[in-house]
Amino acid sequence: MTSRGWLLFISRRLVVLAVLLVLISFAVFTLLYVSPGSAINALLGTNPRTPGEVRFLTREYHLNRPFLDQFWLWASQAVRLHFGNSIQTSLPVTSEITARLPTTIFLGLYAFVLIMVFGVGGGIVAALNRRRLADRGIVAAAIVALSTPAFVGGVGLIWVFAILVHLFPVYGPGAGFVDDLWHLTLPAIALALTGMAYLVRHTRAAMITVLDQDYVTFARARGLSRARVLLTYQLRNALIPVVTMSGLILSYVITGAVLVEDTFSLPGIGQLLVQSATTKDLPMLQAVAMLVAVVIVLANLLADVTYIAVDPRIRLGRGSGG
Amino acid sequence: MASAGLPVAGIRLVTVRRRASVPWLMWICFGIALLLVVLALFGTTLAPYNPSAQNLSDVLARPGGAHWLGTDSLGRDVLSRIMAGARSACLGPVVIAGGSMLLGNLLGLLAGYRGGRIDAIIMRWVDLMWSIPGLLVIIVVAGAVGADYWLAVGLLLILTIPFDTRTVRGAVLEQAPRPYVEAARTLGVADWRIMIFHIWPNVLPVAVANAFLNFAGSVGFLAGLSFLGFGAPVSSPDWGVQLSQGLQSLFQNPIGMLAPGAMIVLTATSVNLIGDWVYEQLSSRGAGR
Amino acid sequence: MRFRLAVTVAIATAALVSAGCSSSPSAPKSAAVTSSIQSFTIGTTFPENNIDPTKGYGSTISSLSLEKLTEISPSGAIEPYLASSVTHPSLLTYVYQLRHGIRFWDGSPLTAADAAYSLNYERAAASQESSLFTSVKSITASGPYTVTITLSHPDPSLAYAVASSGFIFEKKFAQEHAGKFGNPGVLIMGTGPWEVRSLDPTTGAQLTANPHWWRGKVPIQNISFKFFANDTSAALAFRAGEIDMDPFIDGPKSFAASSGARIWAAPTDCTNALFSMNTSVAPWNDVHVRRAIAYALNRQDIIQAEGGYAQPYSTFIPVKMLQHIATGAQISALLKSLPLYPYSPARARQELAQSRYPHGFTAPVTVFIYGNVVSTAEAIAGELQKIGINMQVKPVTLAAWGTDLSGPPAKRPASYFTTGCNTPDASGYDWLIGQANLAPGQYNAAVWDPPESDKLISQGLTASTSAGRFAAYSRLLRLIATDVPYIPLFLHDYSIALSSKYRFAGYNQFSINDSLPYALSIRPASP
Repeated sequence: MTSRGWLLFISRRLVVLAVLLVLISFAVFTLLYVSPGSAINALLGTNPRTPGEVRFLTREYHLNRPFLDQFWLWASQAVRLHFGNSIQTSLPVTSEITARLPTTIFLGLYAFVLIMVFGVGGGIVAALNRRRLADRGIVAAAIVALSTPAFVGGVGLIWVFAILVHLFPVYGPGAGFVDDLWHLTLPAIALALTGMAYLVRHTRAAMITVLDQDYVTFARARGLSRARVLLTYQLRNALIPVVTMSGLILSYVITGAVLVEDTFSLPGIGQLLVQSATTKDLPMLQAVAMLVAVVIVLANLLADVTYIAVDPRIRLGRGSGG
Repeated sequence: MASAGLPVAGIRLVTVRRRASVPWLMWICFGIALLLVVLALFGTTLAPYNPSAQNLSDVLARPGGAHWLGTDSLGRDVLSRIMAGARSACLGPVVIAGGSMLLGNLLGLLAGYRGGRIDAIIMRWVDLMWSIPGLLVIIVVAGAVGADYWLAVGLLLILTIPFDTRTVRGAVLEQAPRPYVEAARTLGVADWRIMIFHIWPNVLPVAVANAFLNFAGSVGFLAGLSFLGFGAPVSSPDWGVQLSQGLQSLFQNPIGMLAPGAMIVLTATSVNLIGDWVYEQLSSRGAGR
Repeated sequence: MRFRLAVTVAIATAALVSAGCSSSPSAPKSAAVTSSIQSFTIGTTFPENNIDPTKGYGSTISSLSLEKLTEISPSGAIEPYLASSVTHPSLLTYVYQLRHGIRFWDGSPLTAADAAYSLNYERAAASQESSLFTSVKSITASGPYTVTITLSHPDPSLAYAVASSGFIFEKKFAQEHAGKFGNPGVLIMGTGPWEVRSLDPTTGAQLTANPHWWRGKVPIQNISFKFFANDTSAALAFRAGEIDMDPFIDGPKSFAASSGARIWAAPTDCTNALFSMNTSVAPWNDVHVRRAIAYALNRQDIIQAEGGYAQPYSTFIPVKMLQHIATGAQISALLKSLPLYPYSPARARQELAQSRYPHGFTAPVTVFIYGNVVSTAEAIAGELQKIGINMQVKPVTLAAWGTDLSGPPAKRPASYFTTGCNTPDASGYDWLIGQANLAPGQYNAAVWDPPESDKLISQGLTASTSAGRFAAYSRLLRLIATDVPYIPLFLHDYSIALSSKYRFAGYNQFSINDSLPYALSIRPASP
């Protein structure tokens, strides 16, 4: 694609993102507005409160203003990236999010790497050893992994490593890079199981198709080594569907983190989302929703860009006889 | 079954036709599926104890004579609750898989066959839904409005339809240029008849396989929502709810936590295997067309 | 979120109230211990985001670093602390004399200006503790070391409020950091034995011993806090030896099993569980229905369902709270004269037979989703099933529960709920009764407002003698026990988990939040 083509492509996506953010923030706002309960009651619980306290909080968070006024008050600050203070903690929303984002991102990336390595690797090994024990074993493991949701895997891993074998820590995020790796291994594995399974199946299927292609037979007949054939032809073509799935997988691990964060006591974005939804903490929920939307759109954009860059049929343009 | 071979120059050639026999693994999966259907319908009646019956003097007992899987934190029999939980584990996913197959197939047929504007609109919608993080949306809605099992099922159904639509559309696009479709059109068969009676049967393997996949995925998804507190109510014997409560009693009766987890994995695995097998059967039979 | 064990000070003895006497300026208790603990780790699931005492309501970090003018002794009496003496010259005035020579961590001296500023900050509308100080008209520094509190009407609970929630911090620091006071980057400036060095809401906090603490040597050099998302993780950390103490446990029984730690539990007069019925709406408006339910509930079984570590109670005002205004003999006499509905399914059925629903009925009961509340509500439903009442448990979010129960009186649902602690004074449950609490945003959940009750509530609070107060509350208790708008069920113990390497000297219900900084009482287990 020409650089002008790239520019158009990316800017079109960014416009879509902007529209999406507006729609999402309005939807979230409307949802909290119409749902039962008040944020003040969520904050104060069963503690007695003075009318003055209630008035103060109502004014502070604009809870008695008309519907559109409230939304506008939030939106006009949000475009300047001022997302306000959390109702629950009265700390700035942005600082709460930046404190928790690294854990979720680390967890997501760790799970992503595991999925790519074991998913693609497993798929390739299975395809190359078709119908033999390795293949059957990997396929069977993939089906079970596919059927094990992240939270079940997490709970199972906790049982194994808290009761049976004391190897990995079963709670907390750790401090420092190596400690983080150590602590986040179990949650990352739990999160990665389903993705690994999907990728093993897809990669295996793609590899098998490639293995049967004519051009592979010709290449081998011409005397190219097995390894060369594998790397140059088979992998490249088999990996294209993998790349298309990677965007989906990336957004899955970031959003699926919420399932394992509470189980393993990880202070991440998932926790913030769950808490702010149940306590009607509008400033926090809006900011997290915006963040998730941005992450997902950017992840998909990255996947699409990679796909276009990798697939020569698209890169060279149509009609060039790929 | 061997057929009599043709004697050729004194040497008997025996051709062996492979019979499409059902592998033993499939029998196990069918058995499990049957068990689940029975439990979903009659679980509460078949259970040894009333799943809600509390016994506060025998709390968190380990598996033993009276209670094969032990008791939970209110003294309720875990085995009975597992059996009763099959209903919420299977009912929602059936609705989701079935509903998504019906509506997703319809939209996919329309998009793939009609093309043009309809296709563009439907695919725009599919792309939009594709990028929505379903889990988070359901959590936010359930968190704000209040958790409800059927609310979660409804939302999940809406989020699953786009996947079926896309898959079926792809299959329909493959079928549309085939001669039989052209022939039917030439004969003046109505569009909707072509879609439903001619194209759809050929697309069925993919659609049915997807339905099984959706069922298995929904089992895990709904249980996950209940685990977080956004699905079935806290007092129900739902497997996700039981897993969440059992985790707190990890050291007292771990079976209370392992049993529902095992059931979720078992259910999803069996259905996934059945789905794969059904796909193989349907597509090998239809391959002749 | 846990509800603040904010105990307000009640008049401890009759003599103190009537004579307005001053307590003798006692020498500071010896706080030095022979062996010093180098480091100590506390794990907690309580969300510590902001240690501003008016926002981090119930923070276990503030309790170690900020001190108060007075503190509550194990018996519930008020003792001077930062103040050297407290006098009560008139029913509407309290005068606190500050000790000299106390310094904040930055070296500035503690003066009455700091104390008055802190207390005014805590009673402002923006403070989550302001409901404890509603009777205050003004708080002023009437001298360099003298603070005077003037009330607009007599209020025995005020003295408790100062002892449990009147944290003293430096006025200059708070003004310089207005708006960010207590935030992780800014923290606080106090006089306490441990100075807060850092706070990260996701991981933990660090406190170090204050080398110039006014009472002498601090027994623990470094305290670290670790934060956990749930009890199970904290218990696992305990098991791995990573934390030494957890002062905030939701379910002590499963925590004990999972962690292997020793649970220290003290009976309280608050953190209670109540069953409330809207007396203005069917089927609850039939007094026979309410009495039937009172007879049908087996408190011991319900406590079992809750996980133990709780004490049953049957009077709307717990006996412990009455002990401040009456003698044991008087209280026994009162209890003998009240209908208390001891567990009896037979009598429950008898009462139900006399009601409009002799064959039972079906009705929803709202509960909020937190901890064990829903499963205990299930246990209660199980008990009521046995007499033919089909109670449907309706779990809702805390936000929705609050709005429902403080909304229009005719729509307030029947509910099972637990409350926190505000004060050990007998007026502590006034917020659940009376006409004023029928207003929107207030919690007379039972919509119980017979003509005599308001007068009795007012008398109970403002009578000038303990005897007068006790008489009013006795009459009120009799009304409540006859009418049964609320069924008191049990009082949670205040439980903490402590590693067996340590012991807690003199542990009682006030230890963690309302007394001296609690870590001062931690000693090595074997000397």
